[in-house]
Amino acid sequence: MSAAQLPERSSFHPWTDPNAQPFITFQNVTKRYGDVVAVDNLTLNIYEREFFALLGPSGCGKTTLMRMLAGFEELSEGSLHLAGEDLAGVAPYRRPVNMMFQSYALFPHMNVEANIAFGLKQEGMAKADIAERVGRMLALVKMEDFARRKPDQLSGGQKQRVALARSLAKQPKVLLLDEPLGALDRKLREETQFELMELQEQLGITFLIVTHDQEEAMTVADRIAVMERGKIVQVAPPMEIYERPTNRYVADFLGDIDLIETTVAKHAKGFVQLETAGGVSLKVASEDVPSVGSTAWFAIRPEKFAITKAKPKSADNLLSGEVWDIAYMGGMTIYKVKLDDGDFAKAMVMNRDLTSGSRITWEDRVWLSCSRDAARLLTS
Amino acid sequence: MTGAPTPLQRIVSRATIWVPYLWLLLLFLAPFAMVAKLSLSEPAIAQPPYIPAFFFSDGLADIWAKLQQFSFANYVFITQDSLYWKAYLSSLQIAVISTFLCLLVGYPLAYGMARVPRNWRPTLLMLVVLPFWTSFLIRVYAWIGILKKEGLLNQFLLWLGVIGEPLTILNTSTAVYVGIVYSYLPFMVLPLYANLERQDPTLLEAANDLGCTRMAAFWKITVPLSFSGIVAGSLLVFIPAVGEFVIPSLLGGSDTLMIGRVLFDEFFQNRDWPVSSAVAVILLLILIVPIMLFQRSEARGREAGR
Repeated sequence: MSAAQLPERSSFHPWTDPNAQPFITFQNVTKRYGDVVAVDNLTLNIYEREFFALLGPSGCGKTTLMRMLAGFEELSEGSLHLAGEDLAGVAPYRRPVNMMFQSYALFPHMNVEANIAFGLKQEGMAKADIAERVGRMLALVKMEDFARRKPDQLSGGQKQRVALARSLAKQPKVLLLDEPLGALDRKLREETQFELMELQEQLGITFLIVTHDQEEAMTVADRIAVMERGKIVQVAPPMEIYERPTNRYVADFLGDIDLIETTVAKHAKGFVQLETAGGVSLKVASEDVPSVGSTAWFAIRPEKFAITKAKPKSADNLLSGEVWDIAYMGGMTIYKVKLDDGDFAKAMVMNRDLTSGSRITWEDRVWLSCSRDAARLLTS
Repeated sequence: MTGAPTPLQRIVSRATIWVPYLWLLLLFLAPFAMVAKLSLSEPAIAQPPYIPAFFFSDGLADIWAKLQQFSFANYVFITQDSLYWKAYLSSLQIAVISTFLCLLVGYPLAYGMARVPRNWRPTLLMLVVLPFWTSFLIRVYAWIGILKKEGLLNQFLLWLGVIGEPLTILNTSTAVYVGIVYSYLPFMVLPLYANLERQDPTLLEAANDLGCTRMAAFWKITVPLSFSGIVAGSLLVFIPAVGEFVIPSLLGGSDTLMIGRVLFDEFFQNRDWPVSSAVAVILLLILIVPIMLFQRSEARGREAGR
C-alpha cells in the first residue's frame, strides 16, 4: 500500500458517511470483574485506516476495551467484530491485531532483531523473507544500527521504537498502542507523536491508541472517544471535542475551560440569554434550548476571552474583575481573574510583541469579554 | 554524603569488606589446609592415626625443604584401587540423575507457586521450607518407615491392589533417589520460584499477541528467562548430592556405591585418615568446576537482573 492510493487526510471522515462499513464494532459490550463493571454496555464503531484514541482517566475502562480487542480479556456481554468477523472465542495469537505494550514487553533474552522477527517466526515465514522484513522494520523506526543490541542496552526511546517495529512486523490489520509514549520525556514524545501519525498514514493500518494524555490524543487521532466509568461520553474529531464538548466532564478533561454556573433567563433568536448568580447577563449561541429558569453552564476556553483594562465599547459578554494570579509561560500568559461575584475565570493571551506580557499586572481591574459564538452552553 | 570520609570511616568501611574474607579464611581455607596436609601424611597405628608430613609450626624454610620430599602416595593409591573411581563416577551419576529428577518435580512446583494469586504465595513458600524445621536425619529415617517391605507405601499399594506382593524399594538405589530428591527439592524450588515470580507476565502476553500459543510462549519465553534459576537450583542440588553420605547409608543397599560412604568407611572403619583426606581433596577438586559455573551464572544473573 502506498500513500498515493489513499484519499487525502482532509477528506477522510468515514464516520460521517452513512454507507461506510465500520471496521471494528463493539456492540453493547459489558465487562465485569466480580462486582466491578469496567466496561458498561458500550457501543463503538471504528473505521478502517482510522487513528482512533481512547481517552480517559485511569480506571475508566479504556485499557480493558483495548485488551478485549487483543483477546486478553473476554467479554461479559455483547459482541466484538473485526472486519466482519466475530472475535468471540478467537485466541489472541489468531487475531490479525498486534499490540504495543505500555512497558514495551521486549523479550530481554533476545536482541532487537530477534525481538522483531519473533512474530514472523511463529508464522513460519521463510528465513530470507524474515530477514528482509526485519530490515525494513528496522529502517522504518530508524534502528538499523542497533539490530544486535539486547533490550537492556537501549534507551527508553529506542526500546519504544523496537516495540513499535515488533508490533508492526506482522502487518496487522489493527495496531493497538497502550500508552505508547508514557515513558518518554516531553520532547521525544512530541517528535514520536508526529512520527506515529506519518507511519500510520504511510502503512494504512488502523491504529487504536489508549492514553490519558489529552494533548497526545488530540495530536495523533482522527477521532477521540472520551470515556468515564466504563462508558463513552463523547466520540468526535479532536476539534469538535475541544470546541463542542457535550458536557462538563468532556469540557474539563480536554484542555482548560472556565465554567460559569448560570440560570437560563430567556431565549432569543439564535442565542440563549443566561444570568449569573451575580446578576451579569451572558449570551451564548446554542442549538439547545433549555427551559427558562433551569441551571446551565456558560463554558468558555481561556484563549477565547479578551482581557483589557479599558471597558470594551461593545461585547456580547462582559465580565469584570481583578487580576488574582498571572502565569507567564513565554509564548502566552494566563491570567486568573477574580470576578466581582467572587468566582474565578482564566483568560489566556498570546504574547504577540515583546511587551504584551507586562501590560496587565497583579491587582489590575480588568474586563473579560467574548462574543456569543466563542462560548458554549452546557446543561450537564 | 558530606565530603571525604574520615580516616576512621575509611578503616571501618575497609574492615566490613574484609569480614567475608576473614570468614572464608577461618571456616573454609583453614580446615581445607588441614585436610590437605593430612592427605600428604602417612597412616600409623597411633593417636591420632597418622604421622604428620610436617608441622605448620615448623616455619616456612623448613616447609619448603619438606615440600620437596612430599609423598603423594595416598593419591596414587586412590587411582590404583578401582573402588574409588567407581565410587566417584557412581556418585556423579546419582547426583546428575537426582538433579534432573529434582528439576522435573521442582519446576512445575515453582511455576505453580509463582502463578497462584499473590496472597497465597507466602503460605506455599512456607510449606516448601517447613520440612527444614525437623531434623534431616529424622526425615530420612521416616522414609525407611515408608519404603520398607511392610512400610506405608507397600501397604497402600497392596490395599489399592496395584501390586500382589510387597516391592523391595528400601536398600536399593531407587530409595537413594527418592531420598535425595525429597531432601534437596526445596533447594531446587526456591531459586526457581524467585526467578519465575520476578518474570514480567506481560512478556507472555506479548508472545501470545505475536502468534505464540501459551505452550509455545512457555518454552520460548519463560524457560529461557528462567535459565539462571535452573542453573542455581541444579547446582544447589548437585553439589551436596555428590558428597551425600546419610541418605545412601540409611536408604541405599550395599550396591549403592557413593563416595560419601567410602569416605566415611575409610575414616571410621579403616581409620585411614590420610587416604580419606585424599578422597575428600579430590572430591573438592571435582566439585570446584560446578561451583565456579554457579558463581559465574550468579554474576551474570545479577547483571541481567538490573
